[in-house]
Amino acid sequence: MTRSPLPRFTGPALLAFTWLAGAAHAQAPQQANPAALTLTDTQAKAAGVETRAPQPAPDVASPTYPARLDVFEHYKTIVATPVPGIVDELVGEVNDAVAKGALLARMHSPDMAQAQRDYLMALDAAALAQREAQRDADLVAEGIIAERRQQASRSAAAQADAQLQERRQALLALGLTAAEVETLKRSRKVTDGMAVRAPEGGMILDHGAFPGQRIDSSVPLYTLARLSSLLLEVQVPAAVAATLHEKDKVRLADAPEDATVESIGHHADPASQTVTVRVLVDNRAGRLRPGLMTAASFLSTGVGTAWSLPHDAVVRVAGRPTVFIRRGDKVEAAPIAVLSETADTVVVQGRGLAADSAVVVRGTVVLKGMQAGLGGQE
Amino acid sequence: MIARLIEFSLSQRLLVLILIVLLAGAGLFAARGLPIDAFPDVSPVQVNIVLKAPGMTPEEVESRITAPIEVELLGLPGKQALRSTTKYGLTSITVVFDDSTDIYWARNQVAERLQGVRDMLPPGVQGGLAPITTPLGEMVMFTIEGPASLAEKRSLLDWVIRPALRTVPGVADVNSLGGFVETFEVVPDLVALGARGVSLDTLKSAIAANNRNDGAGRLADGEEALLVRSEGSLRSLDDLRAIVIATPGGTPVRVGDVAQVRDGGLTRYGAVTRSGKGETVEGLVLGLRGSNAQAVVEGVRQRLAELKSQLPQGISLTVFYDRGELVDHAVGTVTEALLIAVALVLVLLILFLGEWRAALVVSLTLPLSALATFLLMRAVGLTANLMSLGGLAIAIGLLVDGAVVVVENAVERLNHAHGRPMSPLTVIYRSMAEVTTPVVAGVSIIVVVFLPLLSLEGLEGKLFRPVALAIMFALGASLLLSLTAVPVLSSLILKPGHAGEPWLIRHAGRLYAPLIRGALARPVRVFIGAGVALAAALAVFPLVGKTFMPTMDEGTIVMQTEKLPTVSLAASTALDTLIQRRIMEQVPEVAGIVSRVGSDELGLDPMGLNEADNFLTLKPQDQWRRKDKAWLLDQLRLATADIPGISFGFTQPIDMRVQEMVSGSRGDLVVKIKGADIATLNRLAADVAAVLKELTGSEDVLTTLNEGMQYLTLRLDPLAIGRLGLTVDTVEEALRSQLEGTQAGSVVRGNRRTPILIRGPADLARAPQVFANLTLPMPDGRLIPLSAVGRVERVDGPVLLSREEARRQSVVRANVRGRDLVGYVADARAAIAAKVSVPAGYELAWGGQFENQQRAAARLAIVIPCCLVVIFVILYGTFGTARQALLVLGNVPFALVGGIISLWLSGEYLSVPASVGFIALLGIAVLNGVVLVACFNQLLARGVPIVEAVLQGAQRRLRPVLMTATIAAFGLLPLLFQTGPGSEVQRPLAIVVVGGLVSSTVLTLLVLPALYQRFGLPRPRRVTP
Repeated sequence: MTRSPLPRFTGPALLAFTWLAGAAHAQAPQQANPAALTLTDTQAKAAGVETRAPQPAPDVASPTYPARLDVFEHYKTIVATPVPGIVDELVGEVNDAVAKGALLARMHSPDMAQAQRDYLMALDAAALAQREAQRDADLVAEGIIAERRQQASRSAAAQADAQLQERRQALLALGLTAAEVETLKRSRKVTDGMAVRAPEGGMILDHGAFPGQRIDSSVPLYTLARLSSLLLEVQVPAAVAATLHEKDKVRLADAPEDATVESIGHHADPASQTVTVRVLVDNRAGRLRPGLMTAASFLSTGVGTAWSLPHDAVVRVAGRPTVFIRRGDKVEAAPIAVLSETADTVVVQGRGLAADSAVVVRGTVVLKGMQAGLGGQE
Repeated sequence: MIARLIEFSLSQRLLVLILIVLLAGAGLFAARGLPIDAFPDVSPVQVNIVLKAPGMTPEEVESRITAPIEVELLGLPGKQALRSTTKYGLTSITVVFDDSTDIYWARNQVAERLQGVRDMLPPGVQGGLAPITTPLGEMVMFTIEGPASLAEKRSLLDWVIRPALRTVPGVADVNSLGGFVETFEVVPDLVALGARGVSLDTLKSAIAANNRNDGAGRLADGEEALLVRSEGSLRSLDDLRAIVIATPGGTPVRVGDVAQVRDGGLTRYGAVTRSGKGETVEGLVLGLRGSNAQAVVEGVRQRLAELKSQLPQGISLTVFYDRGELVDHAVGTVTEALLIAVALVLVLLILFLGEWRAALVVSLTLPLSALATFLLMRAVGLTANLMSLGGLAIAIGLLVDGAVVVVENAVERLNHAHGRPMSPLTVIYRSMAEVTTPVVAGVSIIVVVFLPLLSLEGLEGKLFRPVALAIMFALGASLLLSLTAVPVLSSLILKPGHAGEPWLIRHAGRLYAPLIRGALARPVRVFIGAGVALAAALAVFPLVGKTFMPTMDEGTIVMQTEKLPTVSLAASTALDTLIQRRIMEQVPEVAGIVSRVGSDELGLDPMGLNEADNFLTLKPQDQWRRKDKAWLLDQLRLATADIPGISFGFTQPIDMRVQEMVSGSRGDLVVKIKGADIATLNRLAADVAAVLKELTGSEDVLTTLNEGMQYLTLRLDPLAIGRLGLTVDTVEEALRSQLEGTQAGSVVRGNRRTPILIRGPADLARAPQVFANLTLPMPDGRLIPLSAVGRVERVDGPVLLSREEARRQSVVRANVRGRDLVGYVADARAAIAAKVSVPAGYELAWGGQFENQQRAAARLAIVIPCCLVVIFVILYGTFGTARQALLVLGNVPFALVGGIISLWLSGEYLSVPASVGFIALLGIAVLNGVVLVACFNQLLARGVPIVEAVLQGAQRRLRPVLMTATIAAFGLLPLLFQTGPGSEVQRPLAIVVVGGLVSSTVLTLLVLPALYQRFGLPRPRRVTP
């Protein structure tokens, strides 16, 4: 039997190696937990040290910032008169909800009479041109006139028709319904009354004119708005604004409505050095009102495992946020990162935290005292 | 002159008798009015300034308030020390003056200087001179129990109980602790304010400006006059809510629209918890400096009883500390000892003198001397306390000396003269002539012996001067009586009787005769024996521990706790309650615990939120499991050993204050490190504390952690602030109004003033993050986030700043157990010199109890030799030769032998009371020596040969020597076996004197005659046997 000869220094090398390994191993636990404290059950009871497992925190809310609710401008409609006139009657009341096309106000305007007259004249002209074209068509058919004349009268009839359409559209634009146009056609009665109707459905927020007032198209007769979505303008310090993104979820301070970030302002207000973040709030339940001042915080998800702990559990050790975790007889200080903080709870992230960690939630001041060297008497 | 005095008294006997009766009456009257306290007033003349600046950090307070004031006070005339402690929101400055300074003058001086600096102090600083009380002035402490809220209890204390108690004569003030001081709290909604464009300033001025009643003037109504009064002052929360702040855009904005108005409380700087049951309110009655403690406590008790009817239903006052009890106990103990001593002395007198008439005459001097002493004490202004009454107890045995010698000689003369035709008066007159010199010399020697005690300074001086004075008055009175009243009484009462001697003397004489003969025959053997005894004593002396004063058992234990400096008030009180429950469960001897954490209202004891004093009231000793105070303390230490993260120390109420007063800190040993930089001071303090903890005998090593107080610093950016159109003042004012609150006037109802406070919501104070995101409303209504004006950082800072003579210092204190103080301090010095490196600009100073001991030792080392010289002079005057004077003086060391050995055997330490014992021993030894040598000289003068003279003289003087010794010893026996408060102080003294008397008497009766025989006369006349 042959023996493969090992180099002569193997033995001592192995010994040295195991010795070094042992020494390193002996050192390692010390480096892993330099600040571990010993806390027996008696001591814990005597000092009122209590522990609790951390709760998983689904989302992390930022601190709250002042915000103001407003009407979303895309949902706002200004109702004005198309032509100058005098207001007869205001039908729509502030705070009414009106559907599209609902009657809002009655006015009278000479322009309306003029348009009606123009229409009637166009109607007559179109009828006349039509008869001319027909007679010419008959004459051409009998070979009495040249086709050229028939073409001219046909084109004149088309022009008159087009003019009639235009006048008719003008009347519709002035607020007459198709039915009313027919009535006019039949009755040939020109009136100067106008009806102002709602171009979109919504809530009447305000009216800008009074009965008897002479107005033109620059006066906002009614302000309508759809309040199913509201705009929330949040004043956020510039540094914080840089961390936000569109479509981030937003939580309102005292309302459960959903809200998402619509856009983030590009310029800062020189007076307060804050950036306005525009947020759309879902107000289909109708509880929120534009004009209210409130506060909002931004939620961030996808930060990894975040845990929610009572506020009293987090302490500062050497300036860094830390929690104390009890493992049997030992208490370790685990550094953490604070994601968000309110008066009652803190959302944190930390490597040493797990769903079954026994985090000290009462008595942290005693543990810090132990670290500081307080305790007992000599 | 003395002879003429005796002549006069004997010839005017009736006059003397009348004078005696008058003396007795005056003495009784004085005794009745003598102020009584347990402890003499050892406090120095000091003036305390307490200033409160709510919300300011220690460094701010130090630089803006403490330092300017200290600079002003440094130059005060008569100032001995200037100390200050600066904490969060508070500074306490103490100026200690020389003892001869008048307290009112001192206060005046300090007040003047303070007035001059007032303008330099920041606005909002409250306070001033503290009341005229001493640190020992805490007379009565009580808590308020019952079903009422803390705010109501505190209100009751402030507005009902305190004014009532302040009218009791002798009460300086009543301190309040704990509870909530009621306020009307206005919590503005910043968002609402901002939305309406109203600033906090406007809110505050609106409230302040809408709160007044006024008189407008007078109207004439026909022939009568109507006084016009306008009422606009606030009386309730609703009134507050209705105030209009502004009218932006025509709509009035009221306080109630923009703020929550509710009942609140001032930020608390301290709290009180009781016996594990939670918070309560404590009142502390402070006695005026120099007042009669007994009278004050009586007055307070009476007033509290009267107040019972004025308290609402269910509320009661529980007194948990009453100085009066200690006083009664202590004084009772000493009085008991006095009475027992008197009884013993009487018995001994009868035994020694053999007949009751002589005993009667001698015993009459006791009450008469005592009464005369009271009269003199009253005249000088001494109070009756443990120390002065203890002095009287020591003197009992000595009081009768003079009378004994006079009467004893008179009896002898009368017995031997009944055959001759001489009137008793003449006999007594002749006998007086014989004994006057030794009596006067002897008593004055004892008086002189106590003179050094009068020279002691500081704390020990205040403790032992009453002792010395009481003894000197008593002895002086007894001397005067011995020369005037005793002869007169003897002449009236004594009858010439049988010539026989009482049984005791006969036996003693029979025992003594062979002994003295043997001694005189073999003097060398006697000398060797004495030398051996002396050597033994010298060998034993280093083994006896040395300390300053044994501590008096006050019956109440105070436990001091220290927690993490940054602990909040709520957490601190919760921990206190836990600790209380644990102690009361595990140590049933504790009847109740009252813990006070933090500072009191007046700021006299400004502790931080992490420091607490726990007063433990104990059940009567017969209910304990073991009647041993040291064991109980051990039990308490065991009970608290398992509570981690908190340091514990044990002391007693008066002891704690006395220690604190002496060096500004509490501890047997106090090391002060002086320097400028706080971090370095902290490091040095930690190093020193670590070294001390390792020494044997160390106990309760504490150093105030002067760092670790967390500050949330807002570093204001001046550019940012300026850009926003603001100032630093506006921003800081807005910040402060959110947390601490700003006061906007107060609501006056009856005699109660309730402040109106504008403050942020409670949530703000609970979450630093919420605070960091605060938006501040500016004067123009804008909401500015805090981050726009500066950066928020967490920083560590000091907890308290302690200064002495206007220099910063840090303090390490330690108590000593199981070994003597001086040895421990020596070890500590060596250890610290070796292990702690002190950088340049920093120095260590050593203080605490041991500095008293050093001072006392140094002083006594000078004074006692002087005293010996004076005694030598007296002896020289008596005997006429230096040789004999030296002989008597040379007897003294042998006398002290017994004292040292008995001290060593009993395990007591050499302390100041023991030293007083040695002094008394010295006096008695010299007195006995004088008596003997005087007799020898007389016999020699009559021509008796020296050997016979010595033999006869010794036997003749056996009785007086024995009487002096035994009566002195028995007079002290009660003190030896006592157990009440104060007995720890008297016992070492009694041990020394009783033990010493044994050896002293033996040596006086054996060694002195032998020495006299050998060396008493100049060479030619010496006769060797």
